[in-house]
Amino acid sequence: MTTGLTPTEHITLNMGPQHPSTHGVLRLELELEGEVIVACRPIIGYLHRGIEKMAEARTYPQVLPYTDRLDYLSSSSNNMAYVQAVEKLLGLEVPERAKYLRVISLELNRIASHLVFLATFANDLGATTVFLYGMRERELIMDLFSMWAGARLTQSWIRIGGVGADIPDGFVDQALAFCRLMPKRLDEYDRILTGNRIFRARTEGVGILPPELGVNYGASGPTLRGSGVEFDVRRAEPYEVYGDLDFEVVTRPTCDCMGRYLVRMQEMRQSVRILEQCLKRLPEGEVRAKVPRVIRPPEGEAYGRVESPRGEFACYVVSDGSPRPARVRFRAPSFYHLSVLPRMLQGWKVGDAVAILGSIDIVLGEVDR
Amino acid sequence: MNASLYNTIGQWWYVHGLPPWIFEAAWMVAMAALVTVFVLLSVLVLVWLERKISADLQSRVGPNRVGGRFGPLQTAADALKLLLKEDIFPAGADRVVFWLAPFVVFVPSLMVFMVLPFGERLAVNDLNLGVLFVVAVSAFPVIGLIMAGWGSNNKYAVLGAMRAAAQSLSYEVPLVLAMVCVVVFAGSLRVGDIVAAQREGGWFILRFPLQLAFLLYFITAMAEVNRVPFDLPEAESELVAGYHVEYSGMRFAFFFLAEFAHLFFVSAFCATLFLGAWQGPWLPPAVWFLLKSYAIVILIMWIRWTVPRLRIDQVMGFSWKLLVPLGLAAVVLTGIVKVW
Amino acid sequence: MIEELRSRFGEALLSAEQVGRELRVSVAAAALPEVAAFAKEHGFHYPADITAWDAGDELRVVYRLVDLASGEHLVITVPAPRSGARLPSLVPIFGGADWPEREIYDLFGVRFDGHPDLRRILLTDDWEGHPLLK
Repeated sequence: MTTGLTPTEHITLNMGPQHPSTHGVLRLELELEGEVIVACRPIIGYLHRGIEKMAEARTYPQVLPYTDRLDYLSSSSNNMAYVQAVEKLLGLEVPERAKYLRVISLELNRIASHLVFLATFANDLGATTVFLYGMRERELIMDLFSMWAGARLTQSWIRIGGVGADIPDGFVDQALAFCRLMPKRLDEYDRILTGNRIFRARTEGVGILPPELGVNYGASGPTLRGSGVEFDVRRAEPYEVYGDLDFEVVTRPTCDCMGRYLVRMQEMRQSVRILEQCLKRLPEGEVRAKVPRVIRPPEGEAYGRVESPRGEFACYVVSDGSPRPARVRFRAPSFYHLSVLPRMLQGWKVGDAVAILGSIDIVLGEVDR
Repeated sequence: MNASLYNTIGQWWYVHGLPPWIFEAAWMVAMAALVTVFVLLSVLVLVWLERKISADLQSRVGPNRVGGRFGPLQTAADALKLLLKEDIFPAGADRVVFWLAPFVVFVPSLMVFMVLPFGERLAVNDLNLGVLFVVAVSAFPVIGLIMAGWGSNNKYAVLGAMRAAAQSLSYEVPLVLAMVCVVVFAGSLRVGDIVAAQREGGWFILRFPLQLAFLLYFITAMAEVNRVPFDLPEAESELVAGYHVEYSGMRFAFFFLAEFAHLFFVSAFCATLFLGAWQGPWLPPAVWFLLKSYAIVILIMWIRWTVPRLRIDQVMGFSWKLLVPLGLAAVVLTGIVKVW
Repeated sequence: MIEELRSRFGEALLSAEQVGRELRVSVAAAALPEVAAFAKEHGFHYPADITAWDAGDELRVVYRLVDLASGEHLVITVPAPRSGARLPSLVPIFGGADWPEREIYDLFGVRFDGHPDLRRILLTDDWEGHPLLK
């Protein structure tokens, strides 16, 4: 590109940390030649709260509310990863009903998070109306959350040994009504956005992530599945009752923004399928196993692994036998996705940067921790 | 405004032996004031309309407090807020250029209203080169946008200004080609003559092959007023706000006013060129004129709130690879049909 | 796999045990790149997690590699001194090691030789100390 006769000067554009499309406090240092991105340097840490350090000074149950603040768009998968690791350390068996309730919570959260993705991705591309459509349906899920957890985002409803409390009366009916409504609304999104010529021109073939590169950089979730790699923790290492449920792992071979978008759109349909199965099969019984008042897991380490809406969310807990964890480490999918972003951005334009960044659907809460 | 009114008062003035230049000057000032008031009121209505339409499309309510259930005074309140805000010059800005830019954008967007016929012989000045005047004057604001981008000393603003210049230049070509079709068909550059030509043979949009010209005009007009899918110079999610990112308060309001004034003008001019201007049965001409203009405005808003935004190379390619050849073809076709 | 590792790396392999689907090995720092390359050849393409923890007397840097086809985990633990530790970087083998290694440098002070861009990542550049050390 610099083969012209006059040498051109590169501009360094600071995108963020205050910018409408960086989805939080991310800063991208873009080196531009005109509108074309020559190099990109993501700078993170603006939201670092030292949650991993704080966890060392808290007891096991006290750590749980901090996990809500990681990937704040899907707090239950964070809860789940942490709780899974601690339960592995304790060798705790969770009641069947609690397992189903956890899956219901996780899948509702997946839909809610993908709806936010749809909303913000469309907004980044200038389709403001879809933003409000996505938020409208998400509100129905938020209503369900506040029914059982009393909170909309930071639920901490999945607890060590089960869930916080049983679901209230009427919850199942309301959730089933949502499951009936959602596919219709998904068709509506497809009508307004998916087939749109402009939307396709902006996403098809843009921001290629080759599958080998994705795996090598530790990408996971819809970002990797949009590149045709069939990797889903729910299938690879089924936790809770995912092994008994009937659902598809959606992949797309195109490796572009459109592929990642379509994977998420299809995943919402699969989540509705999972929800319907769980709500219909929901067994009676206890929702919480007997857990000692002071949790002292035996010495050892455990790795709790969950398929969050963004990818493999994992929690690595090391216990030294005391009531406080020796180390709690959160493996955030967005962290890895951001590290591969510079490779995806090279050669694209500023407008594409927004689309590509939107398509990997990062949450800075879990990146910075 | 009205030619006969001008003649009546002018004659009275002349009969009483008063110096004619005072009358001319007073008349000009009065007309300018009239146009300004009309444009400002239109903008108030348009902003309210845009907010209500977008709210409706997005299943929201929109303004519903200020001045009653439908919030008719919301825009007035917002304008008042903008007036009262602190006037900020960013550090490092080129103060003169920064100060001048809003006016360079705003004034031409008022000037074009001069040739707009609100009814029979109801234009401020029906120039015999009316269409050319519109083309020339409406090309002017882009200089203001570049000044704003440069004067702000902000990279986003510069990028926005670059985009604005590239886009405006690219889309003016098919816009002019579309107007040339109309001019060829009407045989005159005077807006009054174009309207008269539609009285005899029906609206131009119904006359082959001007449908093509209408389509071209409509698309390029959207690009000229920087509306989605062509809103790249502002591109909220990419360039934050593009060229006016550093502007606030009243200076920002000038950009805002100019944008909406321009939006109304391209719609009104579209109605004039293709939809028979003020002509229509039963209702008074001015009402017809406004109805048609607002129909186009609403169409543009509808599109804006439905589709995503294009990328800069796609916008350029669309113009040069598709619209310009189409425009040339339309001109040739119009010529053939006309000579036939 | 354990046998193969043992015959190939001998003394450098400090310990090895199979726990469920996890193969937990502990290797000396010097042998880390070869072990990682060896693992990659054997299907462990996916760097699931790279982290560290302060065990009191020493640091343990933990590399978790996953074989996506079989679902097996390979957990490589590398002991390192608590201050002034230097480890070979895995960035040439796993691109996904780039940011986690920066993070370990930032929070534990472990320097990675051969890392292309070893700067602090979560904390500000003028931060003193490494907060996750106990």
